[in-house]
Amino acid sequence: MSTADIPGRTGERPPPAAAPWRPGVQSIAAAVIGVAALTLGVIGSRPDVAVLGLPFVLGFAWAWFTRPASTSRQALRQATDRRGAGTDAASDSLIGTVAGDLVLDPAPGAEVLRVRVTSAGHREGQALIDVGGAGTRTVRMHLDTARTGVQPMFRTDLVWSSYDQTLVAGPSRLGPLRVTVYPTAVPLRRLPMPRRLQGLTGPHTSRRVGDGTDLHDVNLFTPGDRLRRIDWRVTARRSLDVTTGRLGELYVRRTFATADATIMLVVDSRDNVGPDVDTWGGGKQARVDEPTSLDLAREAAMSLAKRYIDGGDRVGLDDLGLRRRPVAPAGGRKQLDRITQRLATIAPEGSPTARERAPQVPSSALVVIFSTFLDDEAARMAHQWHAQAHRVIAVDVLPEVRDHHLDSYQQTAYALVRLERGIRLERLRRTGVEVVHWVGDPDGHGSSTSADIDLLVLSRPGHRVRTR
Amino acid sequence: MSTPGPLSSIREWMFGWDVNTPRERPLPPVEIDVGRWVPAWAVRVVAGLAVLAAGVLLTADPTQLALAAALGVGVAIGPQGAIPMIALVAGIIAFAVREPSPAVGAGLLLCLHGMHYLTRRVSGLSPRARVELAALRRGLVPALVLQGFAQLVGVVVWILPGPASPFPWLAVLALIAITILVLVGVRALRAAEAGPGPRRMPAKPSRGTTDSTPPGPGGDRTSSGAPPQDGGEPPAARPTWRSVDPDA
Repeated sequence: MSTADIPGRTGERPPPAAAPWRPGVQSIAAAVIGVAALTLGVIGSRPDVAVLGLPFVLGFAWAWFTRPASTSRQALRQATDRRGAGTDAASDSLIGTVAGDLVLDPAPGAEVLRVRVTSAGHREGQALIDVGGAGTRTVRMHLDTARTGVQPMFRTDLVWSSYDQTLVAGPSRLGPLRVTVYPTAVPLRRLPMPRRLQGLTGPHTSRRVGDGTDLHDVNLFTPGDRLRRIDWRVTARRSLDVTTGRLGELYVRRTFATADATIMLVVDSRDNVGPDVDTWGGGKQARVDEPTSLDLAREAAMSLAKRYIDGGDRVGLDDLGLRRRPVAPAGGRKQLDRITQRLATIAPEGSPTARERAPQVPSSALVVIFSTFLDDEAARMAHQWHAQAHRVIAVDVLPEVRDHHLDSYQQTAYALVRLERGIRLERLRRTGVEVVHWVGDPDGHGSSTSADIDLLVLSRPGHRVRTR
Repeated sequence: MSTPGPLSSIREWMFGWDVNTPRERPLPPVEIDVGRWVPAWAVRVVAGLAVLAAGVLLTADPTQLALAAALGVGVAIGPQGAIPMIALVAGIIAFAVREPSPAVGAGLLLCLHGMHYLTRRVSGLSPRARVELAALRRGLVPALVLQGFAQLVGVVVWILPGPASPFPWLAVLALIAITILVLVGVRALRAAEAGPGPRRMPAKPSRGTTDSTPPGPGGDRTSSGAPPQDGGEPPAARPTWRSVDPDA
């Protein structure tokens, strides 16, 4: 069910040699026709016929005299362009614009350039560009895509032409560029916390007594208490002996300690399915203007990571599909960069073997797993983490499914897959794993509320896990 | 259930659109930002109309007009194939077998040359390609000069005595020779102006460059200010959407 979207490293091919100039067949043919007309006019004593061939012969002569003397140069480079970003109403996901620059350095005598730009999943763009002016010229190319991650884009074919295409050079090929499109972060209000907090410092209030700001209680002074914590008002009120004017017991104000939360984000990169069910088999490519499940997983993981890290928590990242070293939990801006980079390079690769045990995560960490739950693997991992006393949140990243183009056999097969998925999600809920649907209700097993609302509900302190 | 007859099959084939099944949206395009442009199909249509106009100038016979129209459609559909050449040959032959007026000759000269000029611009381009108006104008001045020269020669041929006299041929040959000399002179002048000085600096090569010449010390020539592909410049502050090379 995986759809591999990223071909090989095509951008690493050695650049081909510059294309030499060669005569254009049709211009030569037109010149030959012109010469024939002149000859016909001479032989038949018809000067008016001969005149008809004159512009073609002279045009060829002009093109030959003004022919380019050297080869033209061209280069393809990346550009950053954020204009045109909009919202896809169907999936509530941003569609971004990716741009590239074609830098042209024409040889003297080159007049126009034919350009054809292709990208996977896009209609090719073609143009005839004027390059006859002095100096170089930069032509901007751009496309809209909902895909994130590393993608080959802007494969460019060029043909240089002199006057009337009498001499042409090419076609030359540039690219494709390997462009990394990073996922966006959707703003979220509040996020759920782990059952137990860790550490001695952090943005959250722990249940233990320590150096915080929130009052825990007022207690008798004991060895080890700091003198600055003595509450003189309470001490004077409770232990002042008015007859002797002396204090008895000392009282101290004790506060809650602070702590931070450890969040482990686990992305299931084994599946990358689009909204169209008929693309799930791999024979048809999903549209690039609609996010796939992996795009949604990247977006969801990025949103949660940004929100947690902005709140001062420690966030790590692991991939359920690949056996590689996870991004260890940490906080700070660089950690967010690290997670963003890892998220952008996550992609389905091959057929990973099934895991026997769930990946190891830090103790008392909140585990958030992003998956389509189209098979048992991710759900089984979630059950194992839950059995290890972790709080587990399963984020369903299946996009809104379309099954209009399916025939009856495919409809039956999809009905079974959908039924199994529903059972799987229900089992997760019953065992105490909290389920959040990133796009609401993708296939009838989701929820009518948005993911932000669901996460807000899960973040309430008195929230009970629904195990209906 | 009876099988549908041929009439109903034809009706079904022609009008039986399935309006209930949603059609797939077209794929999003790759946009190329050029200056003011026209679609290539418009240029193709104008080239086809030029062929049709040539046919109208040459004949009033409906059959031949239909043939000219077919050639015009062929030129509009396939400007890169042999059809423009066929139209050119057909126009010259049709003119040669008749004794048309000089005005018809002038019009035919304009139509055939215009058709050739336009088909050269859009050959190899898809109908939806963008043809920059500046690219369409590039080479227009020499073409107009050639057209004017040919029209002038036509006027000379028409004004001077008939075909029995050798003078028109001498005039034509003299004008051709003068033109070639002027062209050679222009060429030599341009070469002298260019001189042996240094050539323009090449663009800073990236991984996608196709030039085999070693790069010169040229600076960044892009107008976008984006980091080059070879990663010479670190990316700026992290935007939401950005394009950087992970290998840089």
